[in-house]
Amino acid sequence: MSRVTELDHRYAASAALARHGVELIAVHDALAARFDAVTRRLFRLIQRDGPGVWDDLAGAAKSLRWRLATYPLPIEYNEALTLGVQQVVRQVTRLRGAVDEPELLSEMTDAAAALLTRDPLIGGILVDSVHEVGVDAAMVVAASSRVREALSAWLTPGGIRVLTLGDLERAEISEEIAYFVGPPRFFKPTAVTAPRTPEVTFIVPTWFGDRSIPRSAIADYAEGGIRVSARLVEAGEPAPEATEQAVGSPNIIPEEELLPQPFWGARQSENRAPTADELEARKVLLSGGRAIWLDDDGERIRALDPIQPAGERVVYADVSALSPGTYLLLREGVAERQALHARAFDRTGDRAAAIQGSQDQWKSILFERLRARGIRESERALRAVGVRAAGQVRSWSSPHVIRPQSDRDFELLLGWLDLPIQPFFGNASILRHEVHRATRELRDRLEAAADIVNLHELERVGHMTLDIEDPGFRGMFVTRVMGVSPFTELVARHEARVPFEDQGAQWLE
Amino acid sequence: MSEGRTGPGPAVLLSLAESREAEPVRSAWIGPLLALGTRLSRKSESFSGQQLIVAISVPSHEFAAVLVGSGWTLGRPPTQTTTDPLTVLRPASTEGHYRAVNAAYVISGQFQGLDESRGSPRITLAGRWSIDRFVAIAPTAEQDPAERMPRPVIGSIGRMSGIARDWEQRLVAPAADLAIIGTKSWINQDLEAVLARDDDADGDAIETLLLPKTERSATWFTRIYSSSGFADQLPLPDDLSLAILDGQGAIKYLNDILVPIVVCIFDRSVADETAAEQVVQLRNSRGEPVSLRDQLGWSAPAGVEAFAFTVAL
Repeated sequence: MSRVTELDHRYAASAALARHGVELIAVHDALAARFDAVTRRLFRLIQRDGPGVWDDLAGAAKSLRWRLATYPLPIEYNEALTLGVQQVVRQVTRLRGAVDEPELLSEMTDAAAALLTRDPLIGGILVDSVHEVGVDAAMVVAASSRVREALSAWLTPGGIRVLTLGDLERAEISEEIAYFVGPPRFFKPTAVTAPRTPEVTFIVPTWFGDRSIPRSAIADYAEGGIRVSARLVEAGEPAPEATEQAVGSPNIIPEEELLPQPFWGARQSENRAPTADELEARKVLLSGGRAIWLDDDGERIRALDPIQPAGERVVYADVSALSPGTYLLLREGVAERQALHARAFDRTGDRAAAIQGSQDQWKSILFERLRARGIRESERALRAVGVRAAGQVRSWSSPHVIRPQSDRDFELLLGWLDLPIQPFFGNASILRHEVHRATRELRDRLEAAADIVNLHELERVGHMTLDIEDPGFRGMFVTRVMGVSPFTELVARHEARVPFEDQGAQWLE
Repeated sequence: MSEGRTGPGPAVLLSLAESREAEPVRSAWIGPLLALGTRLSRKSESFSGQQLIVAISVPSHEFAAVLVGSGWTLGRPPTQTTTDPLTVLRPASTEGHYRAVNAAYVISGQFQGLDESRGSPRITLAGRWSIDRFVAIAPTAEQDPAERMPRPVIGSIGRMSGIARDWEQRLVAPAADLAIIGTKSWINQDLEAVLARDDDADGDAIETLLLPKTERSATWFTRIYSSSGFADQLPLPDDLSLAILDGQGAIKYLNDILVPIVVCIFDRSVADETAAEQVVQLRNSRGEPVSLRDQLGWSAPAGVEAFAFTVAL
C-alpha cells in the first residue's frame, strides 16, 4: 500500500471515529465482580487503617484485578491469571497471623480461588465478536506486549491477529474493526485520536469504574476538535443485583487507586531550602529494579525515542514532564553531565583551573545575589536592564548550565553583578564550546549505538546496555521510566541522575 | 473520498503521489493543508510586535509540514521585482553576490565584472556568460553553497497558483523566510512526493516547491533543521517569517523560537502529550485567541484539529 493511501485511510478512520464514536461492550462476570468487590473492601480498610502491613496484599490484589480486565484467556492457557491468584493467596497466608481481619482474608482467598473455576466470560465475548465480522475484518489489541504474547498464543492459531497499540501504529492495516481488550484508559489516547480502523470497540468488565474516552490534548480549544463518544452495549451473564460499588454511584473509589501503582510513601526530607550542595529531586522508578533522583536543574535529560528513524533517535526529554513509558539514556556510576564537563575541562588543558575559578566566581556571586534579593525580584531587575531570558536566572547560578545562551544576556548579567565582562565571558565561552563539542561527540556515539539497539527486545525487557567502546562513555544504558514520584526530596547534588537499586516498581505490570 | 473545498470557489481536489513513479491519490485533506500555508503567507505583516501561533493536529505527521510549507512559499512573492540583468548589473559592485537564471541553470557567485566592450555584453559570475542568456538576476546577501544547479521546472501547481508567471524572479530573489524543524530523514522523504491539481500529468515535486537549502543549492527557499540536534542550532536566523515545528519533538522548542508566525503540527499517532500541554498552557496564560475561520478564512478538514492565538513577542 502506498504511503499516501495508508495516510488517507488514517484521515478517514479519524473522521469516522469522530463522527460515529466507539463501542464499549461491558461484560458481566459474577466471579470477576466478586473479586473486584473484595479488593474494594481491602482498599477501604487501608484508607481507614493506613497501609503498612497490607502493602503487598494490596499490590497482589490490584495486579490480579488488572489481569482480570486484560487476560481473558481460558483458564487452561491463562498463566498470568493463575500466577496472579497464587500471589494473592500467598500474601493472604503471610498476613493470617499478623492482622485481625479473618473474614476479609477468607473472602480474598475464596474469591481469588473461584476465578480459576471457570473461563473468563470476556474471552468468549471477544471471540464471538470477532467471528461475527470475520477474522479478516477484525483484530485484537492487547494492553501490553506480555498480554499480546499470551493472547497471540491463544488466538493466532484461529487466524485472529493480535497486536499492541504500539504494533498497531506501525503495522499495515486492512481490517475494519479493532477490538481492544481492556478499558480505554488502559491504552494511550492514540487509540481513539489516531485510529487505524474506521471502527473501534473496547471490551471491559462492568465493575471497572472508569469508562471515560480520552480526547486529544487540544480538543477543547480547537476548531474541529475531536471528541469521540461511546455507545454502550451490555453482555455476559444476566445483570447481577446492584453490587456495592455500582458504576456512577457516590462514594466511588477512583480507579486510579485500584490500579497497580508504585508505593511512594511520603516526603522524608526536611522542609527547607536546599544548600549549595543539594537539590530538590524526584524519584524516578526505572525498569530492572532501579531508580534515579531526577532534579530539574537544567530542565532536560537525554532520552531515546524508538519511533524515530535511525540517526535521529537520541533526543532530550523535558524533566518537568517526564512520564512512564519514556526511555532514558543513563550512565552507571556518574551522571552524564559530570562526565561531559570533566571531558570538556580536560580539553581546555592548562586553562582548566583558571576557567573553573572564573565560573565559580561569577556563579557564587550570582547565587548570593539571588539569595539576598529573591528570585522574583532578581528576574524583574534583570528584565528591566534588558535581559531577555531572565526567567532562567536560577539555572545560571548552577554549575551545570555554563552561561546564559545569549551573549547579550550574559554581558548584561555580568554588568548587573558589578563584574567586568572579561575574563568571565571569555572563560565561560571556551568552556561552553568544549562542552558542546563533547556533547556532539557523545550524541554521535549514542546515535550509533541506538541504531543497533534491538528495539523489539527493548520494548519487551524494558532496559538494555548500550554498546559504546569509547572509554569515556562506557556504562551507558537505556531504560524505561516506570513511575515518577509526586513529591521531591532533598538529595546531594552528586547523587542526582546516578542510578541505584530500588524495588518500588515491583507491582507494576 | 468526498469532494473537498479549499476555500471559496469551485471545488478542487489536489493529488499527492509519494514519488514520480507512484500512483497519485486525490484526497480532501491535501488542499486545505496547502491552503493554510498560503493564507498565512498573506498575513506575515499583520502581527507586528506579536507572534502568531497556529497549532494543528493530524492523524499522522506525514506530508503535513511540507504541504503547509509549500503553501507558504507559493504565497510569498519574490523580494525583487526588477530582475532584468543589465538594469541590475550596470550599477553593481564587484563585492556583491548575485544569482542568475538562464535556460538550464541557476548560477550563484560573486560578481566579477560586466564587459560591454563587445556587441553582446558578457558577465563574469561563477564563470563567463553572455548576458542575453540570462532571464533574471538579483543580488543575494550571502554566498550560496553551490555555484550552479539545474534550473527547477515548475508545472501543474505553478499554473494553479500563478507562480509560473514570475518563477524566474522567485528563483533569483526568493523570500526564503521559511524554516521547518522536524525529523530530517522523514522530511527528506516527503520532499520526493509530487503534488498536482486534479489529474494534471505534470505534477510538481514538493522539493521544487519548497526548494530546501542543501550543499547543492545555488538558490533556496527553505531551511530544514533536525529536531534531534536542535538545541545546539539555536538561535535561528532572524530573517525568518514562518517556522513550522513538525511533531512533538520540535514543538518542545516553541519557547526558543522567536519567528513572527509559528505552525505547530501535532502528530496524534504519537502518545506524548507534554508538547500539547505546553502550547495550551501558553495560550491560556499569555495568548489572545485567533479564529482561523474568521481571520484566515480557513477551515480544518475532517481529521484535523486546529487553533490559533497571538502572544506578545
